[in-house]
Amino acid sequence: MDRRKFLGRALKYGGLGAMAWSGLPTALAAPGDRVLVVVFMRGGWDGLNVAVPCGDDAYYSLRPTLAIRPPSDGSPTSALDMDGFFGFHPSLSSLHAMYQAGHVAVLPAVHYASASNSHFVGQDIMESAVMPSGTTGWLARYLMQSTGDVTSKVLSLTEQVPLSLVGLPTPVSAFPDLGSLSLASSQSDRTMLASVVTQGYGWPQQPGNPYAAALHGIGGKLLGELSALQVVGQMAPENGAVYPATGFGRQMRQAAALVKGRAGLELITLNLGGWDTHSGQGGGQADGRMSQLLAGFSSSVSAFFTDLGAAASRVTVLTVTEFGRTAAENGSQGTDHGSASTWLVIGPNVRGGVHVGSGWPGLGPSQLLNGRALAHSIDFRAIYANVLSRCLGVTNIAAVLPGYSGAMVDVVA
Amino acid sequence: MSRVSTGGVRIHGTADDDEGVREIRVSITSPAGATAVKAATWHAASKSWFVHTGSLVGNAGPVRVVVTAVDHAWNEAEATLDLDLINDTTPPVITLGSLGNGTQVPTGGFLVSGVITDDTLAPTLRADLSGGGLLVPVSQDVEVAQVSGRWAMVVVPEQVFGTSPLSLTLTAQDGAGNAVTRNVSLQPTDQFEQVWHALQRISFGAQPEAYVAGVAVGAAGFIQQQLAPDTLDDSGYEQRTADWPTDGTHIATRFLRHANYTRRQLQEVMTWFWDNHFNTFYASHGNSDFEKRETEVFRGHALGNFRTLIAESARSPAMLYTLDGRSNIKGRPNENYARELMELHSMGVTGGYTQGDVEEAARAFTGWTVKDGAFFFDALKHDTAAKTVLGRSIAAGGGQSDGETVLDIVAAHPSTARFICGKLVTLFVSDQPVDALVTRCAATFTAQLAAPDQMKQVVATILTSPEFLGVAYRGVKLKTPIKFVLGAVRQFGGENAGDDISLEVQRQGMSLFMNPTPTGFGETGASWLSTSMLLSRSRFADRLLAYAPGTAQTQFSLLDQMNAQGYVTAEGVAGRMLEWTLGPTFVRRHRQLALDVLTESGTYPYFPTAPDAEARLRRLGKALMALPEYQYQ
Repeated sequence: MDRRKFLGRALKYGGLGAMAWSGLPTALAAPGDRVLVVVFMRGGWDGLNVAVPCGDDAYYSLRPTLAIRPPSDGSPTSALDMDGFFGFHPSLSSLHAMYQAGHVAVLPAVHYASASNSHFVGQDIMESAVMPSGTTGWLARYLMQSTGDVTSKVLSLTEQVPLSLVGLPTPVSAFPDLGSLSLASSQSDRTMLASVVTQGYGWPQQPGNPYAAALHGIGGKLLGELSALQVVGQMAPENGAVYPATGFGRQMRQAAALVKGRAGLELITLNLGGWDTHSGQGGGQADGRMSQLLAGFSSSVSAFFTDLGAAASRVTVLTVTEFGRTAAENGSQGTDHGSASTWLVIGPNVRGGVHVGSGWPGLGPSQLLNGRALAHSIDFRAIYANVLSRCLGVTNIAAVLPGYSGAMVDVVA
Repeated sequence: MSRVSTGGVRIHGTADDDEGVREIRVSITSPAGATAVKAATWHAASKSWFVHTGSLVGNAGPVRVVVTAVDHAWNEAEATLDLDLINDTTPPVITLGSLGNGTQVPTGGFLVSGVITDDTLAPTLRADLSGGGLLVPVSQDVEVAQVSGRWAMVVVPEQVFGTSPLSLTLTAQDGAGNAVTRNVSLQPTDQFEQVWHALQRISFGAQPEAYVAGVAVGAAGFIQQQLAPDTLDDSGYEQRTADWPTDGTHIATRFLRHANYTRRQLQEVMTWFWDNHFNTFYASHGNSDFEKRETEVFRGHALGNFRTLIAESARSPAMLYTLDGRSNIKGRPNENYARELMELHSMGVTGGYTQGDVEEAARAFTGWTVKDGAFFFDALKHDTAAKTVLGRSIAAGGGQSDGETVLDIVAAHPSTARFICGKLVTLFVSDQPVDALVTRCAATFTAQLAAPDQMKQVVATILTSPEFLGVAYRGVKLKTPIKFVLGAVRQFGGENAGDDISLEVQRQGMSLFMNPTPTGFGETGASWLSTSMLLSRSRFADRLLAYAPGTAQTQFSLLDQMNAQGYVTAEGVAGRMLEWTLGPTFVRRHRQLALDVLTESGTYPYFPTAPDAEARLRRLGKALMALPEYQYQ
């Protein structure tokens, strides 16, 4: 048995070795009282430089300038060890600390069969969770079969509703910034505009207009949402949490406020873009293009759980991406569109550790998909099925994930 | 001295005091010496007051009006006004503006206006409307401006007027009871709605002058004018550019000013279409000249040949940076451009290419790079081995011609004709597929592959189609941010548009030239419709119409425009604002809402000379921009 195969087999059980907590609450909320936060890494997240397969020698020959050195090198640009085989990118230091406390489940080879190399098709498949991509989102289908008022259950911290939440009769509320929710600057204009919105969106809809129902639905709930969310938007971080001064940092701060302040909340979605690193991707150096993005993500997530305090036990963060990138770097010190990538499930209630499903697919020439990209060992819907069940209390998985077997990867306790 | 009749007159004015105004009293002394005292209505927010004298009894002679303002410290100030009560025996004269029997009018709402002249101030006007498919005749009082005698009436259907003649009867009466009646028969026609629709779709917003000019030649004529941009006199735009010392500091300002002020609107809509179709990302190169040069090239070929357009894009430094072509070298090719060329620029994701085609095309483009700020083919970096792209062999030993051959292949591919036509039909007609039109459009695209005006013929196929001017697709597309922002600036006559507008378009999610996503911005409503959209549009309207003279902000003078056009009554300005924003598509409920906002539900008459008149018009503008109907195009 060569080293790679040995490690691959050992890794099958890696996910069971979660450590005891330190610092964060251990009493886990029951499904149905939990909040799932889905962060879409748009552009194709280079999973091989997130959860770095330091133990796979092929990684280093494929990436002469972009590879992250193994932890044993001991430099600031070396990977941060997970389990002797994988290591985190060095810019994920705060996430690594959470990993060491058992709060991070790492899934390094997630994708699906016969995948698309298009960003847009790929994102649509991940968000609709059907193949070929559908017109309703997997989270929307959950909301459709849930009971009670949908409005307060969900908020998208984005300008537009992501496809994952598309399909409800009234579009899910989406606001990229809860800090600026006034219709106008003067009180008299706010009052006037509120009256106009109330009247105008109460008028009959234009027959035959495909957007009329959605627009009137949005207009009809706008004033209520603005006043409810303004309070949340003003909440200050707690427990000394310090968020990075980035758009994503601000949105994660507001996500924490939503968890604490929006009664009945179950779902938050966010986007983090910039991962389409065809050129100048950077390796382990802190000032690299990808390094900076990773550092902002890592410190935002860390601050988010610190801020949540006792509420953290109710919350799970899931990262999603449309595909990973080519195993080999190209001539532009970047990577092209690949296949499987790393997904993360983060929170006090996850089974921390590395989860490779059927085993690490490997980066050897015969192991790569079409000779160019990492194959997958976990179907992304196995993760969806698990968070649907454990975080949202879904029992009829088939209704939310039509055409899927229902098999789960056990990442959430 | 103003002459009045026994019917009396409304008087208004302003008052101010550091202690605050407690009340305004008005005493009216008739020629016979009798004095009546009335309390004026005080509107604290605007520091203005108004009162009607009531009937003036007695014989002809001088009437003295004394206005007394009292502050909270009981200090008083007085002003006097002398009127001349006359014995009026001649009826008023009604002038109908440009209306005559048979004048064509929209099947939606419209504004009619004119002047009442009389010996005295304050004649009244009543309008009776029947026919035009109205189930019940409508009768309403129409405000007449006291001094100028100007009147305006917002004529609105409940839903839509029928095409049977509309009978309008106007009866003017002076304060002494002398009356006159005029009748005019108007002809509702769909022509207005067609022109409005064309403007909504093929321009960046229906500027009032463009709408009037379009109505004069009809929708088909307007479209033909716009399809021949070189024949449209654009000296107005040229003169404006002479006054601009710089292009602004925002990368989008140069283009947005052009889009805002040019008369060649369709050319500019198509310029933006190509710029967005071949999306490039300023931050990938940091050279604003790259983006500006690209826009100018796309403008030059906006209605030109697709193979030329795609080649200009392929060789553009902005594209070579954005999709990494400049570092695409033999041995370790970069697939980024080759993939998006097929997926986004030509064939579409379902167009029938494979990952193998992407890899082969990437090899064909190796060596296409940028040197000294311009396209350069670096033969040393080019992979000279043979390639096969979409089943076609490219022999070994080629150079730059390898990439050109790939462009030939994709530009002529049937999937490309359908993909480009699909996007254009979405842009001009409907977000829902209109397959029959796409098929006809693609046939033109293919038949005219080599024509220098290929895209003009393709666009003409769409714009002259029954689908484009038919009623089914009117007002069913959501305005994109660029259309929403520029539309408001153009409709309200914004001057000095600059960096502020670029920032506003960006705030709504369209950071022109700074979009890192290679698809460009979405054209369909689904790309924009959200709670956030309504909120950010309301906040934009609030900033756009904030009164900030002298700042580096787009300037509006709504009041000057209203006064210059003779709209001085509440109904006149409300109707004109409705026409600016909704064209011929407003109906009864819009009229009522506009009047309610303007007059604070009828409690505060509109006075064009009051200090808050401009602010009131702007407030109404903000209200109209928040309506569901205003979100559509």
